[in-house]
Amino acid sequence: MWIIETENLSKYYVRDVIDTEFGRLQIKFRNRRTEALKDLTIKVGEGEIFGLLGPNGAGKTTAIKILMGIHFPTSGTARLMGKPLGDRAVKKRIGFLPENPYFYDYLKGWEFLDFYGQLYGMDRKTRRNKIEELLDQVGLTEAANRPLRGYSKGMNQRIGLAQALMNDPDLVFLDEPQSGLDPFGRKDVRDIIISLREKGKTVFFSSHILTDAEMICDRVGILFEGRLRSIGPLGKLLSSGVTEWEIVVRGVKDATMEPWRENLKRLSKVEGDFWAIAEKEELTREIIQRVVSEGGELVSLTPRRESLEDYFIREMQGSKE
Amino acid sequence: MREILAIAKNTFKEAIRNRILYVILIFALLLIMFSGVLSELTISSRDQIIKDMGFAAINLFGVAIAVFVGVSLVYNELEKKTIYTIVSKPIGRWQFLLGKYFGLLLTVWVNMLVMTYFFLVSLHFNIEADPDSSLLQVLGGSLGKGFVNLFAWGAFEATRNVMFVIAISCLELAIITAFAILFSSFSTPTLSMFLTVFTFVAGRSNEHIVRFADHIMNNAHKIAATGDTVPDVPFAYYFAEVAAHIMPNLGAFHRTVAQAIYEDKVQIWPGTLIYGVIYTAGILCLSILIFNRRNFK
Repeated sequence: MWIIETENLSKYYVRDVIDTEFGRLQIKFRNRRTEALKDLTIKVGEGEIFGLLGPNGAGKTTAIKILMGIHFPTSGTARLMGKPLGDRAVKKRIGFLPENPYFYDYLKGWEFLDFYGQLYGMDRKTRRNKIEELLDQVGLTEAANRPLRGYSKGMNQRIGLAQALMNDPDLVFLDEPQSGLDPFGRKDVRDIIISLREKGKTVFFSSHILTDAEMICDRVGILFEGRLRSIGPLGKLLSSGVTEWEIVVRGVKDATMEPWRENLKRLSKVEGDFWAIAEKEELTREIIQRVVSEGGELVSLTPRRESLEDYFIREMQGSKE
Repeated sequence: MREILAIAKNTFKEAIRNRILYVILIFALLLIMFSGVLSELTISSRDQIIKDMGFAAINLFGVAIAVFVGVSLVYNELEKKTIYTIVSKPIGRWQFLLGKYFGLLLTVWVNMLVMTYFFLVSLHFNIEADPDSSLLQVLGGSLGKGFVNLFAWGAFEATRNVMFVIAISCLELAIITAFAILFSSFSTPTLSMFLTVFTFVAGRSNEHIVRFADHIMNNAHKIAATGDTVPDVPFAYYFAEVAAHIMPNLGAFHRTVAQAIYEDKVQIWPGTLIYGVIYTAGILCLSILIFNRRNFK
């Protein structure tokens, strides 16, 4: 059974617009249709970390909003844990952190989590134990008795993550969980997501921070202008072979390296060392042989594989064309 | 039920942190406290003036609280997107809306209770005061009597109808609060405020609207009789009739205030109470219907 299953999920927003033209005084009332999501079909299995990636406005948040019952789809179907959207029993097993969350800032940290615990129908003792555990997990034990209005953005994100985990969910939706966080905060979120996978939970998250997605995702889907452009395990999506070589050499003259400049992707000189990027293996071999034969020193040779970011940009450019 | 209670409690916590609430409450309390001073300047019966001002202040400021605090409650949830995490939890949208309603109603009623207490103190202080006692003794006695009066409605002769009238006003405000939630579930705070106040005014004038419709019909009949033709019923008649039937008949509740001030006995037809409860339930159902279909931006 798929944990998340969508079929041709689409969402259009209709806006009423007034077109005015004062040359001959024409005022027209029209409905403008914006296609936020078009025919999204994805299946996510149990225990998977699935990343929905795409630039701003790609439709990631719309997809999550539909799955969370915040928006209704214009067409298509979706099922969570085999049940149609909105099923109360399924919602009990789901956690959700929205993008740039804003919470009830007059509540203290523990009051806030206690409120969400009540919405899950948890009894007082279970709530208390869970709150203590989660505050410790997200590193907010010290701030538990402070109102949320005094929390920084990172703290807000962490308390939001804690509320998403309040019911010990089997499926967690995280909309841009690392947005606005510093590197430490991003690492904390990443660690929490990985720990969820270790516990056998399914995580569905959207992001445009590709390096983080690359580190933790089992599979990714790439959305662009509301359409799913590609989906699959990272290993399959990214080229498996080496795409370029980074060469750092020392002790050679400028005249030795200059003839290759046109064939290299990049060539620069930093504190006497030449730093070059070659896209062909033969060229790399040729450079190394020449440097060694002229008495130079090979400082390092690093083969580079395609990153998710490279793939993402390639896909986006392909879509635009 | 537990979920509605959790949301109601949270709404109450949110509402009592609203500064507007305290501004309204302070104004109301000042008006109630000074009603005794103002009564000295009039030629009518002193206790009538105090009661008149007290009831008016409690009622109007109760409506003001429902309107000013209520209209932004649901809107803020949507605007600040706090609704996102609520909707994703295992609760229905109807539970969320009912929680908001009961939380707001609790806020309105608690404030009415505070205003009523000061009203009772003011009444005891001005009416029942013993001229031989010191000011401090009179004040202490009034504070104590006011408190007892909140629970023992008929304990004192001068105030025996007050709590009954306030209870009826609470039901009237339950209707207005439901309207505040209804309008707030689909429009902006400013528009909701305008619509709620409009509903309150139209509801209080409901009986006048009915009389106006009758007047139009009578006129049409008179004109028709002179020409011996079929009466030509104007559009305004239908408009007034429809408006009178759609708008809540708040005059039926408000009538008890005049009874408490000018008559000795306060009476209300039990059907009016049932009407109030059914009307409130109807408005809440309509709010839920609208809210259930909304895409939250």
